[in-house]
Amino acid sequence: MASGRRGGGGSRIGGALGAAIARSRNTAPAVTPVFSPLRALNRRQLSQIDLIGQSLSTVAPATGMIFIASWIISADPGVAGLAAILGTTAVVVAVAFCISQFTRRLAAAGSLYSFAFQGLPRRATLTMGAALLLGYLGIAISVLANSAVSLLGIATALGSAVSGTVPLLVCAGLVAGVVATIAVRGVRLATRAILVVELCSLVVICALMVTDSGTPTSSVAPGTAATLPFLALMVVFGMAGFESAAFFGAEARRPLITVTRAVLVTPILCGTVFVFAGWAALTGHADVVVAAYFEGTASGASTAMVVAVKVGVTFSWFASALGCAQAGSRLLLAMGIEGTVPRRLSRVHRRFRTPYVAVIVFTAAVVIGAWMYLVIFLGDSIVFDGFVEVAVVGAYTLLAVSCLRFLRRIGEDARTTTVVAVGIACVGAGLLGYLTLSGISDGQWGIPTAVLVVGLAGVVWAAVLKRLRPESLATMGAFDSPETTDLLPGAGELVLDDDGRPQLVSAHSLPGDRR
Amino acid sequence: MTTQSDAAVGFGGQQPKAVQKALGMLEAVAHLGPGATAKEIAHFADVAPTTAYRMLNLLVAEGFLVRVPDLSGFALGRRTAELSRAAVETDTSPTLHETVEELRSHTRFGLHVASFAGGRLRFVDQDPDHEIVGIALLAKNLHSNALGKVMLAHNPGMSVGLELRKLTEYTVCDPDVLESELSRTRLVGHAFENQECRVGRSALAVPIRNHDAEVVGGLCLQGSPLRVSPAEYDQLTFLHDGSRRLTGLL
Repeated sequence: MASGRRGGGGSRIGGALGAAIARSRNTAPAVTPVFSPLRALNRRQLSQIDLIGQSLSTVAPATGMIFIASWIISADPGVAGLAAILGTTAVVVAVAFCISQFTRRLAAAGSLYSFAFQGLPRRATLTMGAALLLGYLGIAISVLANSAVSLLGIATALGSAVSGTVPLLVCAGLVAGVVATIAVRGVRLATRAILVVELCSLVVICALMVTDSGTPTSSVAPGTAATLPFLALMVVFGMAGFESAAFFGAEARRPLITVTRAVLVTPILCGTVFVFAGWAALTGHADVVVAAYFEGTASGASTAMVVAVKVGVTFSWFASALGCAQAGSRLLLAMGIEGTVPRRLSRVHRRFRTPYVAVIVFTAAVVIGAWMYLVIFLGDSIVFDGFVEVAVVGAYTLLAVSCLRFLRRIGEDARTTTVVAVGIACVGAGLLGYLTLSGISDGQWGIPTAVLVVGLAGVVWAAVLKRLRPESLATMGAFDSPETTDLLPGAGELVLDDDGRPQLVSAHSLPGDRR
Repeated sequence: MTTQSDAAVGFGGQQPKAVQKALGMLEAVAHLGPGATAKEIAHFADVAPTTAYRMLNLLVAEGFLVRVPDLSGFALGRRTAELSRAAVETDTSPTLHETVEELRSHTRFGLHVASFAGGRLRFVDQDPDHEIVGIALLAKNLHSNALGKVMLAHNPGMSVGLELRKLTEYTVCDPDVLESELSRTRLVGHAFENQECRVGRSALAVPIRNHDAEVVGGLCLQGSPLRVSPAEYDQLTFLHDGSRRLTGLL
């Protein structure tokens, strides 16, 4: 053993590395240490499972399964439908691959917004911020409204005749209250809670589909366009938020590894259960579940079945609302730290170390939005969904462009990343262009308006900031940057420049020092 | 060293080669200075760029490297210092066992080394020529032996509520007497045991410290009560000299 320790391995640590290690022992600690701007958060807490829970619940695959199954039952596209789901999943995984190029290299609280800054000009970054904010707000609003509807559906199935707008609004308010409380109480409690909730609802829906013997029922799914591109959009919409683990870079353990895994695994998991739902719908296993969800006991399904389906889906909506509130609050926190939104939003709770102001503001906005949604869009949410889809697709497209420019800037571009990023940028831009043109030609102005609003948001935002808080444009791009204690003593020194950005300078003049 | 780095970095397959490459990249960063880009490192370490990007990301994720704030370059991370342990092990300085063996060649008494890590008395290097009879009793009856007294003297909290079992007619069972003995141990730097654990056996012990001067273990000289005694000046200087040479090796 002693001779083994004296073996030849030692020759590998020598030269400049050995000298740097030796120097680190004799280097005095820095006088003014530099800290990460996200230090106030409860850092290095979340495990891999927590992050997958966060991403999975934001997506709410259980609800996506029901909607995809219902579409396939009504449109009956055959095996082509399954192929469309698979193909769309592959595209989303490619988006995840682009996002992973960032998550491997930096941990941030602003997810795609923080990543966009690394590769895009400031206005485009603000456009990404607006798209992301609108996307998450939109998802959270529709999810909260739907959770209220399905809560009342449970009450109806159990025989109590509660209906009307007021109980819906009250339900939405109550759910939002619970969501905000859990989100403020602590990030770990929240992610664990939503993982359990989401897994339960997934198991319930899957079990019901497997055991369903396929009794033919008069299933009347909501009116939908029966084209495969619509199914593809539905799958993308169903997976929106799969990257929400990227909001927890600062709060995750070994974030560069765990966040990357969560971002890559979530779309694959969701794609799998969506394909399963498609298969169940094609083979008649999903008929009763879908009918029970949309028509309740009127479809002929037993009360127990209706309650089981509705409870499962309600839990899924709830978990998704919580996931969105967590993600949205981190986005507002990141923007608040930079000053691109009021700095008050970056306040962190002293005991729970969560961005409580951002959570409350985001949840309040969602409640108000959900009330409007319940009054205006409940019957026909196509315009609303179109708006959210534009925001989400726009964000993913901008991210692909940013990925391309970022990797080129730091000189780490490879053929694979370039091909994938260019591909996603083209697909995303093509999809947005197609939706806009078909909207104009059909006289449906919802989607063209959404493209215009999201596209102009960054320009307007930048103009407003230039007038109100010009300094915030200089402090953009905050992320969980390295701290003085992360560096080997003597291997370099972190200093803050005039804009408060950390810069690394050489601590000693080294033998091989670069100019 | 190789296995330690493997476990820490978590590379899959072909580990020794991967570790070699990883060390080559750390060496490249050290040589090129803070801010070296991935391309420069890959070129310097003679590794294919895509492999280099993947390994650099892993080294950053594990804290061996740090990305500079604009993300375009790298600097050595704090965990690189952990490699220094491997470096120490590979230099020519002797190990604990070699040092103790060398010390044993200068004495006819039993010479043992114990660690106090985790609040437990544990022998890490027993004299092969002098068996410790009833070794299990020592850790359970710290008040009855020299090493235990050194441990108690330097961890004052441990003697609170300690059960002072009587093992021989010489065992110190009075808490006040023991306390005064412990404070004397702290003062003079050694502890003595006179047949308190086993009749016919006495011992002297001194603390072993780490580089931060914290007491982490003890060095003990065991022999017949007629010969081992604190009055023997040579034995004390031998022990103190030995413990000084063992500093930082435990």
